[in-house]
Amino acid sequence: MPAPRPLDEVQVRTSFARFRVASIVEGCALLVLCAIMIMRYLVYGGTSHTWEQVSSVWSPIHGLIYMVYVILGFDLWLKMRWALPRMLLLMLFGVVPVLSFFGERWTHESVERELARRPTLQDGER
Amino acid sequence: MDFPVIPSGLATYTLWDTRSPYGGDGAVGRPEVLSGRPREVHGADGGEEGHLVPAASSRGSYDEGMLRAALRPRSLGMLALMVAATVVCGMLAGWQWDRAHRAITERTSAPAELGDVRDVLEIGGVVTNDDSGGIVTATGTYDASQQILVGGRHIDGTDAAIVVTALHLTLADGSEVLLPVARGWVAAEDVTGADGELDPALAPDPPSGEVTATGRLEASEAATDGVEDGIASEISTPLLVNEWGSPMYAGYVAQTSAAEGLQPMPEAESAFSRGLDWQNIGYAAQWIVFGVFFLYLWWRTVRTHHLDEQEAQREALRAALGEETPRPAPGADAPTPAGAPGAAHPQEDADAGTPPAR
Repeated sequence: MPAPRPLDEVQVRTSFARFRVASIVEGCALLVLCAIMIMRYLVYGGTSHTWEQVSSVWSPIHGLIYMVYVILGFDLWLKMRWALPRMLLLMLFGVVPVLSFFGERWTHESVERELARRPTLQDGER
Repeated sequence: MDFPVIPSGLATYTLWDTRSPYGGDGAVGRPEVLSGRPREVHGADGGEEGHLVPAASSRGSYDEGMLRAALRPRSLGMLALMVAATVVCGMLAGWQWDRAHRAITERTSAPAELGDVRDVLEIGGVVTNDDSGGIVTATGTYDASQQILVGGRHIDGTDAAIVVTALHLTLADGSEVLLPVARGWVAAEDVTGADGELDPALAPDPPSGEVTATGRLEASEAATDGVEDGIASEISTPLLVNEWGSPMYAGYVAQTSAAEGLQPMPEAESAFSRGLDWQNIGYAAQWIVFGVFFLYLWWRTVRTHHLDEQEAQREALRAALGEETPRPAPGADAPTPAGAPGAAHPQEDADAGTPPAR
């Protein structure tokens, strides 16, 4: 197993801060989308013109938010030098309702743990 | 292959490796270190050939290292997973692509004969995809006061307006229901008044008495604005209900038999609708982007692993040389003492000007 190259703690923390915001925004956007889908298909059974319109407006916006979430997740994944499955997990967090909030906490813990354990470029400053 | 992106971890090495301490000529002085001593060490060590030679000292070894990293069983397993994900994304892209073209492809098959519209549609029910495009007949009387012009269409290369009139049908229980009928189209200039605006008064009146209209059943178009002075942009039943009253079927008939003074509606809806659904085209593009992203992720992973491995080899090399391992200074650009082993680092890419030790 190759020795891990050091992490850049400053970059990691910046990336994580961005990812955290994206996680929360994506989580909220997904909940809104779910509410719209419930109104459109469960409450009105697909016959409500209004909810169809609302859904056609919000769906692309949510899609865009998810794209931004994936890009920021990818950035964090790169900086943390994680393995491939972790990226798939980050993407999954964004598509299951409510999970992104827990995923963000779990990711935060991982980041803190690994920054403490793995060598960083900032080690010399301490 | 060319890899223009320097990963964050690597950027640090390149800074304290080669460039800053020595400037331009430093790279010229060091090749002895590279070509001489490390090879000695690797010979004495007896390790695997390609491994202790400073990697990336030439383009070839970089690519070979990448290839080795890519062909590890774990990497190949991951590649299989990523290819599967990409295939799924490709299929989803194809599905959205089909949806975008549905208006065209579906109409090319022969339309189904559905019979009397009263047996096909329920009041308040929607026109399903199965029924849409099917041929129906509708018997009733037109109300000449309930007629609008739908402008902004292009049919057979002509700026056209569609004439839509309310047909009053009688149901089995004696109640009356409205059905919008697109009776046909006229050239826009024929119904344009002196003020340059469409004038519904210039449209031909509907026939009086009981008539039977035959045409394609279509779902209501989505409304973007309202009906104003008998002019609309869409054939939209939610808007027409406001104008003409209810009950009204939630769809319309595009009459294909010629009416007096009017051209019959085109055979395919796509010929007078606004063409491709660009939203679905956009979704198809997004799925393709996702598919490519999965493959890119795999490539990044292989590359990271390869770079880690190279770094581990360098560490081993330094240890074997019996010299102290240099740490990057906090600023990452503090000069490395001349002759320190850090100087022995070759460039990852040929971005330092003079490539070390060819």
